[in-house]
Amino acid sequence: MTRILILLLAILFGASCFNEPDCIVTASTTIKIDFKQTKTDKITLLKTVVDSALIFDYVKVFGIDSPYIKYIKDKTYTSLTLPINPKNKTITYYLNRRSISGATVRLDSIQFDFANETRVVAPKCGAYTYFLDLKVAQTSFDATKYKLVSNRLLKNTTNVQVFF
Amino acid sequence: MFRYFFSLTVLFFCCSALAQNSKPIKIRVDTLQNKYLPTGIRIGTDVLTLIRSRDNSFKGWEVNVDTDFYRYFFTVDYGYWATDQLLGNGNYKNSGTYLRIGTDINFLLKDPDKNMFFLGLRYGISSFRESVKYTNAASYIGFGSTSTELSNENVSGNWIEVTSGLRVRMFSGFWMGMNARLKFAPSVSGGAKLLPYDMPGYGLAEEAPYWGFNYQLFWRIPLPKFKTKKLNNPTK
Repeated sequence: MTRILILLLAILFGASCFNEPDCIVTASTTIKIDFKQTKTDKITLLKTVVDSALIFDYVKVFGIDSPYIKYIKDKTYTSLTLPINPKNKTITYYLNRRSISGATVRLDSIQFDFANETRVVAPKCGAYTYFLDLKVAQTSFDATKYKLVSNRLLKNTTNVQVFF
Repeated sequence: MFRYFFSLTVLFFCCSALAQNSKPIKIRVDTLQNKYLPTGIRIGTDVLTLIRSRDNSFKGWEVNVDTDFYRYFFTVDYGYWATDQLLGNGNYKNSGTYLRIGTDINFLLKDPDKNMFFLGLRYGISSFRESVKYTNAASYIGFGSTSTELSNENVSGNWIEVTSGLRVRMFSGFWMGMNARLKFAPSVSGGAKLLPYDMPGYGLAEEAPYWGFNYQLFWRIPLPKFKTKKLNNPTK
């Protein structure tokens, strides 16, 4: 009996290992804004949310002198992924839209507040600042025209939907 | 004749009683009465923790104590754990102590060498501090990189473990043991902006369940045995 147990001890000792954390970093320093519109089916009267393609004259980010996005002919955007300044707790974006004909231009702004926390993901990947508690602090959009979808800044995650 | 028969019977019983009283009588001891009294205390240490301490990124030790109550073993583990880990973008440090209290149930009761194959339950508590220093680059280059230095000075946590393993008597009072721990239900409090990462005694605070292993060396100190009670002639 003792010999069997000693053998088992040796096997278990050989099999012993330490847990290795996964190296998956989901932290992001960008805010993703999707542009949407509600369409009503004329027959069924069912409402569906579809992408809305916008043309921008320019998009400016507070703290960056030159426009972050400039007008490109025939270029439309159904969403924007805009950077935040990790050193601050607030960011403002200025969205200057133009009509398809280019005849009219409208400037909107949206200001976000956010908090952060630090997470050590794994020794190989390192530590990252995760931004959370995203709030729309101020905006020229009507309160019924935007929706906060996710208050955490994560990769490939939409934070805000703006309806046109 | 009947009178003589009655007298002889009384005399026979009296002699029998006297004959029995003259011998020391052995009282049958209830074997269940003392079986929960401990027979020894095992004191040991975890060798894996000591081996890991040879690495510069980890320093630690662990003391293990157990004592038997029939097939149940009351166990206490106390340890120290400090890490200094180089991260991909900085470094992380922590240090703290932990305590595990629990019971093991031995399934090899009839083994002549008192070897153990056991299943147990533990409650662990940990108290530690941690700090991190790292640099993150912003998605927009113009915002530059951010260097952050944070610490949690007084973090405490607890968890539950299901354990299983073996303890084998090598010779005399020297024992070796292997312990596998399935740790779960971790709870940490005291962390602020830095989410607690590595909890001494447990491991990665965000991972559950979490596996742990110990390879232990013990020395068993026997406790005085309770002898079978002998009773002499009560008339003397």
